[in-house]
Amino acid sequence: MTRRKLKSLFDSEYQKLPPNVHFLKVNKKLKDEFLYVSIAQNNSLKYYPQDFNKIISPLIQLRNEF
Amino acid sequence: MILIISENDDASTDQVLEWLRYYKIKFLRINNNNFFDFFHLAIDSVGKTSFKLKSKISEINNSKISGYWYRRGRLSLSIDLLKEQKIKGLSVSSNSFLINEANSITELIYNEFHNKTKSIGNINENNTNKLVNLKIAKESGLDIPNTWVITSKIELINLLEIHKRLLTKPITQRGLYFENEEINFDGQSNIVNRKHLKLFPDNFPPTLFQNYIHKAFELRIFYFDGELYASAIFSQLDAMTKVDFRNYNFQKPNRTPPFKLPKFLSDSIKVFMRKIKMKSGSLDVLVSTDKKYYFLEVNPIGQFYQVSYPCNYYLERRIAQYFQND
Repeated sequence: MTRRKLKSLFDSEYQKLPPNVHFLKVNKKLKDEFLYVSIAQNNSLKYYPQDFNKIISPLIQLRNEF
Repeated sequence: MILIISENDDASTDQVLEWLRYYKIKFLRINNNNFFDFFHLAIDSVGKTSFKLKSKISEINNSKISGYWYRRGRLSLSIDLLKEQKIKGLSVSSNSFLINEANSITELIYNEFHNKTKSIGNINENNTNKLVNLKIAKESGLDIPNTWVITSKIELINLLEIHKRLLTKPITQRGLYFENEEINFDGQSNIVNRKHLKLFPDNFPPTLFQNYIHKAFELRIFYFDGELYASAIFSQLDAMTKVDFRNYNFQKPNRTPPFKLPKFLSDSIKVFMRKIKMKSGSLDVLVSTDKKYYFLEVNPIGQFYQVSYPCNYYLERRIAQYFQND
């Protein structure tokens, strides 16, 4: 995922925010067509939300691959 | 029927619902993108409340709801807002009035749901205060890191003189969050040392710092109705997850075995959760290299899948079982 600096998103007044926002990462979202994963059992496509990787353990991703 | 308020893409809700189906428990799931039209609300002379809300796909009838799970998200009412008017600011005031009126209605509705015999979670818990919680955690017998909210570089330099490394994170639960079709924000906690000083102006808005504690490993503990389910997270040996395990390394995930909590810790956590009146929540606890347990924060709507799945706790089933025989 491409990272951008948070500061680059602001036209002005970035300094009004607490300075620790500097550490926030800006993620570029994936396009929707990349979020459909085929499930082997019935060969159907399942849609996964953008934050799928945050909320699901890597283990379940493996389960889908098998 | 069990009413569940959640978000469209919350996988944990999906899994709990599968268990509810298994136990043949009726439920109605509402996501924050389901907008409801409000029709009426009545509080009679004995205090009994009735209301009617309808969306395109479902209807909420208070008398049919026997249990409630506030998982995350919100109940969204449709509000017909005013366009801009000739008098500047009039539409802003009017719309703010309409929104506040709607919020007062939803507040009562949440309250009604929350008072059901079987109820987990409360939308008000989203505003749980990290600073207040640190105080209550200490009163409950838990160790906490030193915490400062400061506004000047001089103060920061003085703290770094003593502590060498600090940790910074937002004061609020969620911090600065933004999402549109192209981007979203990510990342919460970060280490600050002298080399970061150039990022800080002489004076800045209130910013939270804590002393950096050398950790042996972290604990993610899911508390549910007096029960504790803990997972150790060996995040310390991975540079990516060292400061915050939520900077997940998917190529080489942290090892997350079940962890048996010492009695003094589980007792203190139970006291703490009772004091903050939270029936369900995910707690972050740091275990230091000198074997002390530091409470960091509690998240009422945190994800518990990473505790449930690798540790075989079947928490989704436990939540569904709570609503059995309601």
